[in-house]
Amino acid sequence: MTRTGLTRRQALGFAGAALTAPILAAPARARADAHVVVIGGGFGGSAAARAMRRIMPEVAVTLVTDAPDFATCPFSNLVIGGLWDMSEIQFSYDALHDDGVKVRVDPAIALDPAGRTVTLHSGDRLSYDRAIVSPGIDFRYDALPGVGPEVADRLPHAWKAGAQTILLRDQIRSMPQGGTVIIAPPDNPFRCPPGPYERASLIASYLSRHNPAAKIIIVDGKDKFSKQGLFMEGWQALYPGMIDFVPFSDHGGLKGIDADARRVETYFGDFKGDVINLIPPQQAATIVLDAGLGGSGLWCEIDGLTFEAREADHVHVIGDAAIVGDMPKSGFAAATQGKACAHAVAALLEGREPQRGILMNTCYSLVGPEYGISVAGVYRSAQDTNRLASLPGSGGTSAAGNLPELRRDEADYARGWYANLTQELFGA
Amino acid sequence: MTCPDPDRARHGVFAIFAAVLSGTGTAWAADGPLAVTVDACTTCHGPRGMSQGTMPTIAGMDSEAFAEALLAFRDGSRESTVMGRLVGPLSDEDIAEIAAYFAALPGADQ
Repeated sequence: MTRTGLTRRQALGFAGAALTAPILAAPARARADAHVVVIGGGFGGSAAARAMRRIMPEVAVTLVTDAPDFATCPFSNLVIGGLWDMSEIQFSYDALHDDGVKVRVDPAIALDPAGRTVTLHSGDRLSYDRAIVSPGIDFRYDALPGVGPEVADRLPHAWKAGAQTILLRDQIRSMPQGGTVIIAPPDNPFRCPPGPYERASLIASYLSRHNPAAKIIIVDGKDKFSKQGLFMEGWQALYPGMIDFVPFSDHGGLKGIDADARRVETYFGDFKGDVINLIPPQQAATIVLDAGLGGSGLWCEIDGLTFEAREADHVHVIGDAAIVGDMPKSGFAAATQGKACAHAVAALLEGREPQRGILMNTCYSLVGPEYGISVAGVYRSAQDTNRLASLPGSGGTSAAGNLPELRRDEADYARGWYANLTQELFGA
Repeated sequence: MTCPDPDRARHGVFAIFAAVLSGTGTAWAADGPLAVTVDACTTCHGPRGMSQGTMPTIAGMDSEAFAEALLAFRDGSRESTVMGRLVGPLSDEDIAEIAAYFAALPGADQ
């Protein structure tokens, strides 16, 4: 520590608290041969890998991912609604490579916490000192009546962006005039709680331009949803009469799905659609559960300060696969967690105490191209339990009411949010 | 944590500034909890505080203007879309440190 630093500390009067330090402070020594393996090249994994290299440039970081490009779920509803091109939500890992991250396009198929290895599809096995695991979700088709994963070829989920996004977009484009789109979202918890309702909005935006007599029916696995009041206000303002929300208690649950007839059968009646967006119930990605990190549940419990799995040492789980206190399953939350996790992993590799900073989540949804709404939250791990809890006096949704300027501003901010977030994850 | 009287809060923050900025011209790196917190800011405001979109670039921003803005968002005297929902839990010290951190980063014109 330089003398200037000490003087500042004393002047600040925060005895003993390492709050700020000049850049000239001697960096803590890391284990030069440490290897961090990151599983998953989405929001959590990419953010963690880049942050790891930024914080500890001397540490080797390998990111293991399934494909050479990543299509983001955030803003994929703009593609489905015909407002953006697919190429606008696709990113390569070139910038991560330039940061010194070794990117392996070779899916991780097994994680062995006891042996500290990750096995890849090719058969290669990577050893790690710390693993950061951010593989997202898998679908529970076994929780749906009478269908398996192959149903997605006809009734797309479009809940992992890419070919599924294009399939759903094209089905909507070729739908007959006056046709019906059914969106069937699952019960909580699932990836991106406001996502199905933004999707309904932007499909309505497309239909109101190209197929104005068409209808959208949301056959929901729950009775209430994220930003519900704001969405419904927006639907009334922009697409009156086009979107019908059927809560769980009005249909009693899915009894059958007839993919040939494009019919969803419920306990209180059937819904016939021309396009069915079937979003199955979800769980942590299989690799997490197969490694025993889910305990007896479907998601991974973690320590909210270090993100280390409750069930395994040296394995840190972030993003949608984990239960991260009060934080929602969102891409933005995963990116924030990825960076915070990298700080914690760096501290542990250097033998320092992980620091209890503030994490945030901000999720914008577009109800229309110029009509944005948001939900925000601020979180810090609790001193006693390390649970990442919402902080009092923060968070919440946009103001309700007829506020066209605010909606326009938030639509602008939504686009800025996406630009900055993807720049941080994948930009040069 | 937060000070109920905005004027007193401002006074407190600028007293902290006087101390923080006594070593003018030095680039600052964050460590401790601040390192985690400023990484939350950049998720919206862009890497290293340089924004590509509608959110303002906060890198290289005058630290007093920065702190004034956050204090005004916190006490509700300045309207915002989302910032008012994010700054509530920040203490005067948090605000002074975040402001000093981003002020020391190279901004758009540097």
